[in-house]
Amino acid sequence: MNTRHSATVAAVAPSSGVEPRKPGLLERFTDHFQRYWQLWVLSAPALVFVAIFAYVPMWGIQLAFRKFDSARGLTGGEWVGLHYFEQFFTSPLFGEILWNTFRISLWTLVTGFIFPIILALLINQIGSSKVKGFVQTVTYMPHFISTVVIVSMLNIFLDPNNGFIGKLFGDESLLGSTTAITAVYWISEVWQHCGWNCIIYLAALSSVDPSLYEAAKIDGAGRFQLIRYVDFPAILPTAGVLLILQMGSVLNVGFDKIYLLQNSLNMPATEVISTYTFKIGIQSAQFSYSTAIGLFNTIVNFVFLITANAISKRVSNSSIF
Amino acid sequence: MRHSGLRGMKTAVAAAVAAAMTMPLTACGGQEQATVDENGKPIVRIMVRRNVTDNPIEDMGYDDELEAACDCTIEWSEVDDNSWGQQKAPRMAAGEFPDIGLTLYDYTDISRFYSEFLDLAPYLDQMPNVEKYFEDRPVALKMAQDGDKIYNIPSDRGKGYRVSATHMFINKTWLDNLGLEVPTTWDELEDVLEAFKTEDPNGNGEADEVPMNIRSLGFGLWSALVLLNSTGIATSFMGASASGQGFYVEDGEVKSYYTSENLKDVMTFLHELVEKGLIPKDSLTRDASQYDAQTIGDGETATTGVSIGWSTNSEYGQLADQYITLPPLKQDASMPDSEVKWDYSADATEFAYSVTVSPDAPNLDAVLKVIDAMYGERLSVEGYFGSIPAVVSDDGDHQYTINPDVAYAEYTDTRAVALQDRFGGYIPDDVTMINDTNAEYVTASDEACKEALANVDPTGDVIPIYVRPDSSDMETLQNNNTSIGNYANNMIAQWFQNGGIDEQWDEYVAKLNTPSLGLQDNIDIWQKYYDEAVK
Amino acid sequence: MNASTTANVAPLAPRASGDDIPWNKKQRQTRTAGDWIVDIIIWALVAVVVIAVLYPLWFIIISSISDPNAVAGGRVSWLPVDVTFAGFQRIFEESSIWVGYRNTLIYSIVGTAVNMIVTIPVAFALSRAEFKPRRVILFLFTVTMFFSGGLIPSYMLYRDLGILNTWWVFILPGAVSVYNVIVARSFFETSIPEELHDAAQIDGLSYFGYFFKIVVPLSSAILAVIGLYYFVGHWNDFMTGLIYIIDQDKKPLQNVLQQLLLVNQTTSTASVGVSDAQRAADQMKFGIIIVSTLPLLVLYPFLQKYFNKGVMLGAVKG
Repeated sequence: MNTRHSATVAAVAPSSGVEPRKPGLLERFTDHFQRYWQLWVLSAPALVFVAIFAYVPMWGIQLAFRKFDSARGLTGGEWVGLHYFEQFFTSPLFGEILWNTFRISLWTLVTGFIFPIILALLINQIGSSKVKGFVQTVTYMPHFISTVVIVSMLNIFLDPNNGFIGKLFGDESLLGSTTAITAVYWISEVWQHCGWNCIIYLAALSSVDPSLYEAAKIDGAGRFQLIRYVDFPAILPTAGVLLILQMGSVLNVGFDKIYLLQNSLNMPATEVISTYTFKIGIQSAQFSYSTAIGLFNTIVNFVFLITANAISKRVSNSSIF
Repeated sequence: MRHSGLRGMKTAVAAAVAAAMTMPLTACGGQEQATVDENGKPIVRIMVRRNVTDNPIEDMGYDDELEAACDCTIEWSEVDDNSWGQQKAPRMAAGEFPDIGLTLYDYTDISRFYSEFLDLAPYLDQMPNVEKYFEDRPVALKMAQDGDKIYNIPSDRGKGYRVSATHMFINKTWLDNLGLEVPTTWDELEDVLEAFKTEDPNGNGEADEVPMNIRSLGFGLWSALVLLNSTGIATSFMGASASGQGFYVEDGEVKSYYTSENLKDVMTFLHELVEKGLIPKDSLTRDASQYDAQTIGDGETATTGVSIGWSTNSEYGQLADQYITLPPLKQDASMPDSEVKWDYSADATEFAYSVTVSPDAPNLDAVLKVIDAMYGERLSVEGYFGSIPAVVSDDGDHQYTINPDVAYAEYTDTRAVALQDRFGGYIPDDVTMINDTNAEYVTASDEACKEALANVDPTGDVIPIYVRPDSSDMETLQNNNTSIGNYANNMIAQWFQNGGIDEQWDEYVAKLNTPSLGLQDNIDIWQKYYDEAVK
Repeated sequence: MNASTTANVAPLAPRASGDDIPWNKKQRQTRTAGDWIVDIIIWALVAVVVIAVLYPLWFIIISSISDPNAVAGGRVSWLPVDVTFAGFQRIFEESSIWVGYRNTLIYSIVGTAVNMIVTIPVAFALSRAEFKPRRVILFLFTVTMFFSGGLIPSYMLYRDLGILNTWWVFILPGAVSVYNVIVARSFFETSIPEELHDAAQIDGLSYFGYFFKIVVPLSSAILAVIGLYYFVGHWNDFMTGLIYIIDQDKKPLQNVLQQLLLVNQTTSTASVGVSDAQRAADQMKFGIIIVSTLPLLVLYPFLQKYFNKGVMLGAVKG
């Protein structure tokens, strides 16, 4: 039966393009499902979960356009249009929050993209598999440390009196400095996640055919050329996809960490959209206003994602949809 | 054959997908909650926020007595503070309210979700204990009333906690070692701190002394800004008070601390101390454990001279005996004694939390019985200090003795063996508690502030805690405060650490008075409600 | 028919390990001065990276067995000071940690299993270029990475589904990570040679057959990577327990840790003497970091071999 089935597939495939008669909609559907029902089955569980857990709650987005009214339920409030967006745009904090969010996330995004690639290429250059395993194991470890702990470690290390890093920077705390806090943020991000994020590149590198290296050697390639012309192209598709995905979070700053890093001295540099939304939504229960700010954030991210995807498609032919 | 095979498969798959889709739906079958237990007794659901949740209330004698009193079954759910902070907003928005909420909601929540809280005023006559409580304690009634409605009943932990929540301490042993007097003015304090820094008061030969330690610079608990009281205006840094948002009253007029000369004086003084190395420069950025390492320390050698907190016991642990409360300081010696004030937070401290009822509670009679029982003397004592006889013994004549071996085995207060401050109840003034060390310490710590506290007019110097804006004004206040605080708190922190207040002050005040920040709007709102409540 | 499939795969057989990178053995005699310099630079960089990562971790270890006051006072830098195991002792006496441990283990294992069962098939389906609806599906998936209804509608949905305060809330809502679907799909597209699919068709394999018999066995690398992603996600998941779980005995490890570490930060009451609990928490802090991250550190080396194995791939294309 298997044979016959795939034989049909093979037979049908070329014919569909040639067939002169235009098949009806129903016919096309039947044809499609006959051929691909197994793929639909494989997709079904994921489709169900996404529909229920991602799409069903989306009706709550309308809260951004309604005045929340506890007595009338989540969507029963009065329609106020763009009132809450206007409130955000005209808020004295708007410019500051937007700039902070953009600055911190862009630094994190760019460094978080480049360093794992460099590290992966570096680790791949280590000849001894034992050393390689050791370096890999060491560099991925910080990834498992929770945010709270990372922040308390930063507090200890950056202490201007006793911390081994803080001591080098005089008696002003780096954590209280509006200029240094961005660097503190992205460097600690790189420290924590670089090793982990390079796993995916190492997986890609491990799939490079050894004969490619041989061929390149025969062509007289040196070590740098091998990296440049063999390793680098091998990870490029993965890198492209990851970059596009990250472009979609250009206005996202991981909430926990920046929230825990905030103090009264660095606040002008650390108040970002996510922390502001939290303060408005969860702490002062202004659901409509916080939903509106969240939605604004989402839309900006989405625009970036679509743009990045379009550019990537044109430039390198890799895209996510 | 192929077709039928395929069709069979398809049907199977369709069935599987359908099953997968309905699975979560069937899971919600058990949503309807029972309202009576298997014996036909009504069920009352109580949710409480607790300090520690590893010692269930259901295992306490308190629970049994409460159930006996209401002839019902009580289902407790306990939530820790941390989770509640996150869960409160979604739970309220989703309309999830327990029959009885203990310490869960404050008046901001009530004003926003008024339809989810039962007006208890018509039912007061079914709760004689609560009625008596309101007669005894008119302030509690004021805190409960919203017009002629009563949406919440505050709990009253009694005379042991009728104190300010904030005190400033000084190491008396160090003073004695160096032959110094207790300072009474800012200048004297500075001199003493200098001596602490340079003369090795703890005598260990190391320059490890921190002359003065501070936690924070906000308008909240244990903030160094309580020094504002030295300048003739008063603070009330506890609970959801107007003072906590930065507003006070002078001659019947609501004003903001932010733009007051008093704040300028305090910040100038604090920066001077920072500049001279008398307060750690990184006070605002380090984490809490460093503060504790310097106050509680190793329990043997004190390293902190002066700090601000709740009681000597909570602040310094085993070193508590070295410290005394520093009587409120004068800004300068020329100031008359009658102008020195101190943080007025007794109401917020005594009536910390409250009890609320959901209008949807299925067994209202049982609910009212539970609440009435809670506010009786015996169950109030049990709720706060521990069950009788397991933890507390009833000595008769309104006197109760706490067994310290049981009660304080884990913590220095009764949070593990009782609801402690998260109870609902009323401890009348004629009750005498033996071994209530937490109250003893804080009362002792408060003693030195009594004189200054007498100078505070509870309605003329601060906006009383029962003054409550409605929900839309509350929203305006909060949004404006976020903008104001974002700018002003940073300036305050900068001045604390780097100085420059003289050059920047005028510009700062001008910026704060920009209409878009809304400072004046907030003052007007508070003025409106203050006038309504007080005049 | 089976023979032809095997024949196709055989030449792509796995590389044993990293040792046979060409320049290590055969080419050694041709090393130039430039290669030596490159080597030195690489080793220097590797050393810097290793030290930069290790020192802070070392610091945690020595702090966990040092006197907490010495740690907070900055007197611990290279070696433990006033060695004490009191912190660890308290951790082992704290039963809530072990309840949390058990819960997290269950949530992580069951959760990851569900994740894999849902994610890998859909990633495969979406990797098939001839499956036209995939663009729409992918788009709909990707949208969810950015648009979400937010906390409150989700909360109400979970309540209606009856999964609030149950362990399902850890498993069902996060069953699909779109990010991981995309990563896996990208792997299937680029690393499983199309020739294998052609061969499978000739051999009469259906999509099911191709997926289970050929694609899955050849994808141990990506299965390990995705599995680890999910597992770590479950292990460190903190928000779910915080927002949707009330009962103490259902809280995962991270929330228990948070309670232990944040015990000093209860902002709400002035009545408490926090000293003792605070001191205990300080002492436990570093030990807790170690105890809670250790299982993940132990898990990784088991999976690491999959990463290093020269998983099939590429040969046909090359």
